[in-house]
Amino acid sequence: MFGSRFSWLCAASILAGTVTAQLASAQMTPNNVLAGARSLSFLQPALSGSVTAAIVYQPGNGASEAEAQAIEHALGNGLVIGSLTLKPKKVSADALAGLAGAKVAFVTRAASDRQVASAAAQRSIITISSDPACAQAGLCVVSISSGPKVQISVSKAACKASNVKFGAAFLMLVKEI
Amino acid sequence: MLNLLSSAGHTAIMTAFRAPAPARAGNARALRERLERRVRTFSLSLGSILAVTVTLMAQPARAESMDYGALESLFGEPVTTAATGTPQRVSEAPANMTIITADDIRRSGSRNIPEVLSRIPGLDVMRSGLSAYDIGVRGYQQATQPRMLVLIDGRQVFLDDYSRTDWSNLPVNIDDIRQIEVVKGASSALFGSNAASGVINIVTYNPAYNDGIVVNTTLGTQHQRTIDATARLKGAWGGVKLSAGGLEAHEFRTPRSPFDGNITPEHPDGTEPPKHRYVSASSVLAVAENLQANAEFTYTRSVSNFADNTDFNIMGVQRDKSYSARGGLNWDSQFGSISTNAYLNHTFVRILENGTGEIGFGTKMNLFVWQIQDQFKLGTSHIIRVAVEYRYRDYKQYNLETVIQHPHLVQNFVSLSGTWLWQISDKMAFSNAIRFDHETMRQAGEINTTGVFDYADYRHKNSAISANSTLTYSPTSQDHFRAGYGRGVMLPSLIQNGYSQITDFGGAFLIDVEGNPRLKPTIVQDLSVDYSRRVDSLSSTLKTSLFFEWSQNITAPFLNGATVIIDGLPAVSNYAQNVGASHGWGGEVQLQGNHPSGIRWDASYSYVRVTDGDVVKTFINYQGSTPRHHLRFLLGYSTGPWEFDGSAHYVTSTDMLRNSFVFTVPVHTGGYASLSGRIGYRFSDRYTVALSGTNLSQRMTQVSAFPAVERQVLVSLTGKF
Repeated sequence: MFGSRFSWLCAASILAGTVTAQLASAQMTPNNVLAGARSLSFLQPALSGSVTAAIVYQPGNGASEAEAQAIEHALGNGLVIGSLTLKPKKVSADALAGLAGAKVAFVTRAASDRQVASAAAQRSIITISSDPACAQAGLCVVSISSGPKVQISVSKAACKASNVKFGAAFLMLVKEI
Repeated sequence: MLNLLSSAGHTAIMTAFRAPAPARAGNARALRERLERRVRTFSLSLGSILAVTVTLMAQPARAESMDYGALESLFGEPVTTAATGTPQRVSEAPANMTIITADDIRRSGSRNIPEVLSRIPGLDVMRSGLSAYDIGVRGYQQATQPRMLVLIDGRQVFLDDYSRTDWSNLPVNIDDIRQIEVVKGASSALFGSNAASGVINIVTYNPAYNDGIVVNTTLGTQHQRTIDATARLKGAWGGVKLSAGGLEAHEFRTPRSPFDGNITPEHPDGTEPPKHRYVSASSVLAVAENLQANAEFTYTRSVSNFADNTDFNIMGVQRDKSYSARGGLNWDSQFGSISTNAYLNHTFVRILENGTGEIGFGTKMNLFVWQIQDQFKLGTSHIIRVAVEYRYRDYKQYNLETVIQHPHLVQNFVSLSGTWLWQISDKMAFSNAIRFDHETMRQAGEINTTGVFDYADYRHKNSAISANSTLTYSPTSQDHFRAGYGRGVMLPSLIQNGYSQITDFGGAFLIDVEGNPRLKPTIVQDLSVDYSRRVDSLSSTLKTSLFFEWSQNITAPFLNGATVIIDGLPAVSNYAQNVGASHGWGGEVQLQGNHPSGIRWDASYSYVRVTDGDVVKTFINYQGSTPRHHLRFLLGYSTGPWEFDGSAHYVTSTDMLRNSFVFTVPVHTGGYASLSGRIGYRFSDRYTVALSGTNLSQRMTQVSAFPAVERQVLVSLTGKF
């Protein structure tokens, strides 16, 4: 009896741990933000100078707002990668006109949908998410997961929609979808 | 854009200079008008080309060669092209490879590359003087190591004379090295001949992405004095780099056998001091948005001890001088990443051996290589690389003997190669590479034709195929399995192919030493399985590997052949010969870690056992010259501005055949242990001082069949600006 209960407890713990890990891995961590910003240095033509990086969140969604807060914190007053400086600007998914002027958008998990993808594509904005499903569905240009190993997915469809091009060496090192 | 530009120019020029149609009588005016129109067209086209060119040059452009630093920062691990020719993360590379980073080099405390490489399991570093080294891989240790190809930024620095690398004469500042990529196993399918058992590619900092100045000066025992400096300047237009440096020291003054003939007229005690001078200049220019041009010039000269495998590991002194020039283009196009590269190496080698230093010979070699390749993705899961290469090499020789020959061996190679990487699933990948080499050879100089080989023997063709095939499986992001097959090609050296010398022994008889143009290339094949696992709980990576390797058509040193008659005198002929086969097997276990507390470690054990065919054992004895067991342990700790690193190394015994002038004798070297260490202190943002030492456990250590090496202690000061 004890053995059976113990087995169930173990299985439940593993399942809970796996689910927690999956959820945690989908959140944008500071490392994801850094990897996303670094991937921009392989764009053709390269981005340089001070660039507005929108942070798209779903208002009223606690997880999305927290994720947006974490991204904003990671970007600080301006994240410098080589000759590029990313300046954060929070944009509500309800007011996508706020994307105007941005060239990059970090999209929180709850905010990634077709409407955001379309609005970003119209403005040739490079969208970055920590949710692999986002690039898989063609809703984001880049999806990043950074633990335990940095994995980058690039959506060919989203690249085409946003008129974005990456260097050949970079594309050979990432998963193209 | 390049294509557009060149086709526009080509059309304009062809239009302008196409021969006009024959003018009919009385139609001179029409002809004049047509000519004027064509001149106007040509002028306009030329103007357009110039305007487009100037516009392109004026654009803020981005260089397109691989930015190793940015990719390493992005992926959190080094990136390499050494495994397949295409960019890959080192953890995913389909080869047994190790990357030594700039941090590893600094912490080693070494000011020469072979000492740094001695920390890699599976490599045998044999030392025959203060700056004389040979590096073997997976056994087959010998002087003038022919199985390991060595490149600097893709340019061959391996010398084709004896098929070897003169480690004392590389035109590179060790502080300018970004990473050293070491691939163990046949790599000829990618790099060509002589990457038969492995390849070492030294990657320096690209001035288009890295700027700054680094200067190092080192003083030490053996009166060692070195200075090295590199300045890099980058801008939106690209970058330029200038490196220069040199070494002076005394040779080890350890006891030597009578046949260690590293004696020169200036130093009859066998202690010709090693020297090195080098300078290199390179530039990378962003010509257009996706087009980058690069150029490089190097000059280097050195003096060091030399051990000669064509003459049963006899020892002498070499004075080498080398120039190189290189140019290339990288174009990130809609057809993929296209690159072309051409370089010329001119090398002058003077060998002084045979005990007196009065007798020796010199060689002049040219190597010209032109390569073009395209890498592109097919769909989302296939990467293709296709390449064409033309290679020319020649060899001239002059002897300081009584009868002078003037051989001039010329070899041309055309190669086609391809790589196909198939990402079967997220967890499985299949990589394949194949290369076909076609060689033509001729003797363009003056050789004796009454010996064993004449001009007709030189006029022939050879073909060879190299291949690699590897399956990788990564069931988790922490576990990687690899299983692979490789087939490598090792060409005979230019000396084995083309040497020519007749020595007159007082009019009684002659010794006729000849190159053998009929030698077959040595074919090296291997099977290997590797497993690596990231162990997060130990902040470590565990790597294990097993291999089996077999070699056919092994070439022996110059052996006695038939007696021939030259100028009415009997002559004993000597030439290199294919003498059979050999095989070896072994493996490695390595645990490498880096804890956030600042402690790092690297413990490894490697084993290799070589079994020679009977004739190979008699004339070369790889199975005796290869140490079977290596144990290495490195421990380091960083805290604040301090770095402490130490290493211990144990190697088991060897028996190497050596020439005693009359007989070939086996020389036994017992197992030995050595200790090395470094203490570094960064006393400002710019300056670091370090105290380091090698072979610290005893005053002198017998590490090979050559004279023992001494304890070395160095103090260095490095400035970075």
